[in-house]
Amino acid sequence: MAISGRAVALALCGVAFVLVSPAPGLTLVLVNLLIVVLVAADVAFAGAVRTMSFSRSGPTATRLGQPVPLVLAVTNNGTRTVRAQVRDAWSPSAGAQPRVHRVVVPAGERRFLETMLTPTRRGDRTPFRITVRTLGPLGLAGRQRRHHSPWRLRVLPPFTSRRALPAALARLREVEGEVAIRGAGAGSEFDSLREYVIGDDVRLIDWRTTARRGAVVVRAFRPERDRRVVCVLDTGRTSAGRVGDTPRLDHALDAALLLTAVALRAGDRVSLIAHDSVPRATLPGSHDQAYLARVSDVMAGLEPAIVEADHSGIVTSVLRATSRRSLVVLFTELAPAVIEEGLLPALGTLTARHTVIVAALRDPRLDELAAGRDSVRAVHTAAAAEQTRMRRRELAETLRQRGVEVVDAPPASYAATVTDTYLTLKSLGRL
Amino acid sequence: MTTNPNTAPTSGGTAVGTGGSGPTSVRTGPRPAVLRRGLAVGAVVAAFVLVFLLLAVFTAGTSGGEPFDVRSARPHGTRALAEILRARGVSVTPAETVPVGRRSAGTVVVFQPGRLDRDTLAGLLGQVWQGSDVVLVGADDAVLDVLDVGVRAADENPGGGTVPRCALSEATVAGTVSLTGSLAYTRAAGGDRSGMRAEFCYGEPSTAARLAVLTPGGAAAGGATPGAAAGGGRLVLIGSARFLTNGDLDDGGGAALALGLLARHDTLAWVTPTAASHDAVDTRGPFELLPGGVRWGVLQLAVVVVLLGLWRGRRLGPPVAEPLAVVVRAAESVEGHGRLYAAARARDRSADVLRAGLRVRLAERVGLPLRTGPTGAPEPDPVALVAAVARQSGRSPSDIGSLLYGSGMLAPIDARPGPFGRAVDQARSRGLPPEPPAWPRPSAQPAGPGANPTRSTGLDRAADQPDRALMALARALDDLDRQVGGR
Repeated sequence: MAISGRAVALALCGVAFVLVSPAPGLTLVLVNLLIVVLVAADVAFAGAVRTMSFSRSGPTATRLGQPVPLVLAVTNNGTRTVRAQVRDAWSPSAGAQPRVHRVVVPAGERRFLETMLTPTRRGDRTPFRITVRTLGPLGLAGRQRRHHSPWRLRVLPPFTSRRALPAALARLREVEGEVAIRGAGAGSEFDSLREYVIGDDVRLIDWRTTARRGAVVVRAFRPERDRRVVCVLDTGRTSAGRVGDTPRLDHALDAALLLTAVALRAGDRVSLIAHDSVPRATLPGSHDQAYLARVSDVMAGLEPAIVEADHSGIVTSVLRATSRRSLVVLFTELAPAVIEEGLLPALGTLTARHTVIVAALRDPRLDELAAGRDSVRAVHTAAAAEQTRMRRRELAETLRQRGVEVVDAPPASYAATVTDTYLTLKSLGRL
Repeated sequence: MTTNPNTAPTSGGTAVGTGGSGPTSVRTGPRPAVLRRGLAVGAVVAAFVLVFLLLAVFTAGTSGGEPFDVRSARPHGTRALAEILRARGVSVTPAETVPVGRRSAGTVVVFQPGRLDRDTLAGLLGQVWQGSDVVLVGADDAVLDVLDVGVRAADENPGGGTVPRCALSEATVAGTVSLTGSLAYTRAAGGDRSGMRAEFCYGEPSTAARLAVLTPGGAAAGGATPGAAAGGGRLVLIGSARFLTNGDLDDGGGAALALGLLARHDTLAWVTPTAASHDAVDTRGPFELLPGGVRWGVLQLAVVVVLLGLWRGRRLGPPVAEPLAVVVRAAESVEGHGRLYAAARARDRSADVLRAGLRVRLAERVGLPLRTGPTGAPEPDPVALVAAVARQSGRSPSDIGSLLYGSGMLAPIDARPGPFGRAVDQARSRGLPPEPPAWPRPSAQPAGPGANPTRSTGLDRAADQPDRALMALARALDDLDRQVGGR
């Protein structure tokens, strides 16, 4: 049961009647009795909500920031026409519009309502409930009830670094030697034999074949294929820090997606591990192209956890996930507590078997703070920022001394820098 | 002369037709939403203004002259009565205040006596004792309490009694008079203390009378009728004066009663107090003045408010909770550290860190390798760094050394401009290498009071100086950074 603004307006008109009436007390009672009677009649004649049924259709996944139209079918199984307000409620981050639908469904018919969802957060979005209010013929009052129609919309990471993909793939082709440039492809894996052209390194001449063929023949190489890349996402407390407008974890997901896309194209096997104090997600390696979609799907559910990352656990997970020599890309933060207490002790076993990249995100806000000179407090804050920068530099240096590649890049170039480092290592044959 | 029919001056109803059909630049289709909304708002405003103007015109047309105005010939005026009285030799004087200091006895009619103050009412009562006739129209309990003549307003409505039902000679002469209104009088419970004899007429004289006539000394005079005391003054209380107006004067014996009550003396003061004096006896608040329907209206408004609450309170489903992820700004801890440094006034530490940071940056810029320093942090070789920086910036090595490797902050100095900045500026302007600044400057500087007019001796300034020194150091480091090629 619910009343509408019309009932209030009616009562307001009653005020005028009471004011001008010669018998105001009696008029007041009559006016309000009339309102009560009309409201009761309206409720009695309103369409039944209980017998309505709802069903949904539409896409089940979207990338963050892309609007999704979902269709809600409203069926009136009652005997009276239903004039309804339907609120299809989702959590705020689902960005459901419009908030309330108005629909008229004659008895025994079905109408379709379109709810446009514009999610503002990654992860699974489910509808909360459907609230229906049907108004009576006078529009004074009506009935209200809730319904449920389950659905799940998976919001995938936005993959904003996709625009860096063409450049990365171009560099990959260059590395693989598919581009007609001098020096051909780099790498260590034997590819084919071809005729010598002026400018080729004489050390690459294959003398045996040259003797057999009567023409000078050189060995051509190409980068190794079918290598293994392990993306390790640290979802511990440091990944919750917001850099710009997105948490560190989301920047890391973006970079991991770009790396996965390029590595799959390069013919490598990519696997994914998300870990804080416990493993959150593990996706075994694959090199089929649909793997990227699976990675996106797994990433959609990842959230930062307010726990300290267990780096020895991460190392164990990595060692268990791959037995062959791999490139381990660890997306984490260059914080003293993380690196010194967690990663450094466990690093030895990792670097002994694998090539390791530590990819950290540099916060541009730190540079802004370090340049602050406006007030005494700003200078103190600048000193604190300077201190943090020096600690990061120091940690990066320590890691490099242990044979780890360190990427420390601002958000704008983070994904591209990580992928570049991968390509550089690949071209150097260090995978 | 004009060939285009659209621009030709046309008249009458055809102008619209020809103008609309021609190939002019008339826009077709719906108007833009903004324009539509603007037009609608304008139309509503115009309608309001029109209605207001019409109301103003019509109400102004009907509001000529006050009620009971002796100059007004309208139905609610009393000009007819005034003319009759004048014809009988009574001089009628309209007034806004009660005339005082009159020698001879006369008649005073006061409308809305509640607007008068206590003294004026007492004066009127005094005039009655001196032989004047005082007629109070619409005197309510507030007035009667002040007069204290043993009469109070009746609780019940006397109904439409038009027969005198009393021995007052004027009333018996006048006969049937239609006295209306809600005010009626009766004898007060406290009895007669003022020495006045009261006669009640019309309505139910024993419980609620429309007309009360009080005669001084009547109690002493025993059974003498009020009419017999022709020479003495009278106090007349009338609930309503409708029977005096032009419209109702000829209704029944109204005129006779009016003449009987008002024409006993040669002068008649017609007092209509326009505004209540600030200490008027009848000080009813605005709520007591409201008509009875308003209270019920307010009750209905309360019903409206309740319904409004029910309407807005019944929401279409509850708000939906969002399982919020924990998101903090990554630089939050750095800012917190900065605030801690500032709160602890850790200026030396801040200065050290700023210096160390610049050392590392400069070392990278001039290409010096970093080694692990004594504190464990990577540090360049001090000698090589100072030499390289001095070479690039063109400043003296001692200057650079004290700036990069000094301890503490600058000594108390003026905030603007910093000593190094000033020295550098001077050197730049002259094209010379800067002089080595007085660093570290002795803290106990024997400067005269006139030497530094900006320095005050306040306590806050004393606490402020190390802060300013820190800022000066930060600026000096920035200067050096720029000189060696940063930003």
